[in-house]
Amino acid sequence: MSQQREIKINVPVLARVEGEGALDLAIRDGCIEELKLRIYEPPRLFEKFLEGHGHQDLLDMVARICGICPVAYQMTAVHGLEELFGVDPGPWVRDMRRVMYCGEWIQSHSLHIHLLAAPDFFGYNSAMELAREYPAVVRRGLMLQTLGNDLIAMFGARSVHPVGLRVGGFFKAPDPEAVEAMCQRLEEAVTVAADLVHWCVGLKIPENNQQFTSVALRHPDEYAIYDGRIGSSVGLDIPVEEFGQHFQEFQVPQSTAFHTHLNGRPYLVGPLARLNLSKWQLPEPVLENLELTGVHFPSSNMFRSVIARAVEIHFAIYEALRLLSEYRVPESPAVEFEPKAGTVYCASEAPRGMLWHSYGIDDEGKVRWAQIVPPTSQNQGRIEEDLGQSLLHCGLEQEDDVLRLHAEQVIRNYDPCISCATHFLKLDVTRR
Amino acid sequence: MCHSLSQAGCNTALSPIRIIGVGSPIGCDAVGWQALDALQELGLSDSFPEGVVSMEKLDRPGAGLLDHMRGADLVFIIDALVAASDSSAMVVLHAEDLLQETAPLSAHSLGVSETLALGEALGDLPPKLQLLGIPVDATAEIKSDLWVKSETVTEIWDHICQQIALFNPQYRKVGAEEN
Repeated sequence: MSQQREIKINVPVLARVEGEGALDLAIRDGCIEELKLRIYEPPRLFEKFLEGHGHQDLLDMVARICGICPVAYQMTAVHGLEELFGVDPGPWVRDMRRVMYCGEWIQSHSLHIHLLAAPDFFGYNSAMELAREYPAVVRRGLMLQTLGNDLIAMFGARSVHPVGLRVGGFFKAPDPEAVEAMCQRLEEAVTVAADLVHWCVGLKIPENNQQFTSVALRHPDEYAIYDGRIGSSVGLDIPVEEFGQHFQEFQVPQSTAFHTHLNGRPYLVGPLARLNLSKWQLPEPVLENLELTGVHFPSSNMFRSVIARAVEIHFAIYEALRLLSEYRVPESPAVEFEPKAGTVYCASEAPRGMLWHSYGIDDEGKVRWAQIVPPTSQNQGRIEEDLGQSLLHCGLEQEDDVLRLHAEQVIRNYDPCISCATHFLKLDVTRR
Repeated sequence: MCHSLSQAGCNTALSPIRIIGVGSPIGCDAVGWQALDALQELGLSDSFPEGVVSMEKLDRPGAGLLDHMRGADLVFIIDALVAASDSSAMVVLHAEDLLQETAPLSAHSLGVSETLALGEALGDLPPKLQLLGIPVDATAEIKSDLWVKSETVTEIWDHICQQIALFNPQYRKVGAEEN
């Protein structure tokens, strides 16, 4: 194929990602002239909707940002409000929130691995095709997803937009009988999840190593989910309130979602970033299972994100079981509090990566202003950077369909939630 | 009936006939739940031998819908249907009408039809399945919290009883058609 060809590829709708976006790729003389991940979903204006609403409304409203990770939005907000109000709900609430959050990691990661990513590795166009040939694989994914959803619902009354969280704790503590039944399911699922890690390692994962900065919350005592300091693979270690001093949100013409840079450069958040930074904090059985696979982290291969998700499913099931194994019903599932005016800075680890919130709160506990930085916004710059390198690695002389498929697979590694970020993929390739 | 707010502990009875209301508590999406509540209050499941018909409401179940249909012989799913017309008449859709294999699948858009397509690929669909769609106009002015009309409930009742009788006449009880 002549290097003089001018090529333009347009992927008008990217499948198996969340939300609506497109990819424009222009190639001139064998070089990428233009590469833009276009996110064209209309802005959802959630931050403005929140203004004037009270703290409980805030928890119910931020959950509506996402049907897959509502718990992440709620947990981030509730933790931040409690910090501001000076409320310490105690260890029971903290542990049970971590369990509920584990449920969200389990369901979100399971869906991604089995329904969104796995067809790529088997050469299928859809989860339906995979389901016909490998029904046991898809059933495993659905089983794990249901487990995660039920874990969320045990605390939140329902898995989509749960309603169980409140400032100070929970509205209701789960019944011991429900917890006991859940523990039995988690015990059975631990083995399934350990096997899932080996299954993912067995997938035909491309070798494509790139240099990037991993960013995630870090906690001195545990694999961070619920809280921590912001850390990076290049030595960043800051409290969440200093986010704005190091990270820059900015607008680009091709996206209705903000991009975010760390000191002027793209960076990665998500399961691979977390594993790269905090693998050593995984529980011993989870770590041992990973070591048995012979795959090492930190990794600079984004395609290993699928393995990272499987490891985190194993971890989340193990962790939920550990925390629930000595479950007791507390005297009260919540503590009382008085609202206070001030500014809230808070972050937690959503399934797709670090989620950062900031709110101005008045003395009645109402929202004066809000700023929410979801993981997909943070990953957009990294996705574009990765695409540029991955498509070169793939070979720009490849047929458009090959480039399109490869680009989609690269993007799916990030499990982007475009709907959260505003909010997939159309590829437009121009060869000149 | 298993209410959505207790779905974590829901153990769908192994009844051969299941009526599932799909939706959420607020707005026009609640119409499937409201129809199910009305059918329950009118005693639909009691019109058949004990253990034959179970009813439950599910809050946006996604792929979890398959779990709630597993082992059933006949399933009715009652759900809101976005309609362009003013008609509130029930629309009956069969499994083959709903299988949208070509639709892009994403975790966020795993609706009823995508879930049924996945269930069909897995061989997990019940032998007979119907979606009873209740037309709603999501853009209409909200005048009350009640989205389902009594005549629509009657229409659904008659249809379900008729279908059950056709499916297995042994399941039909005297008086069922009188309600």
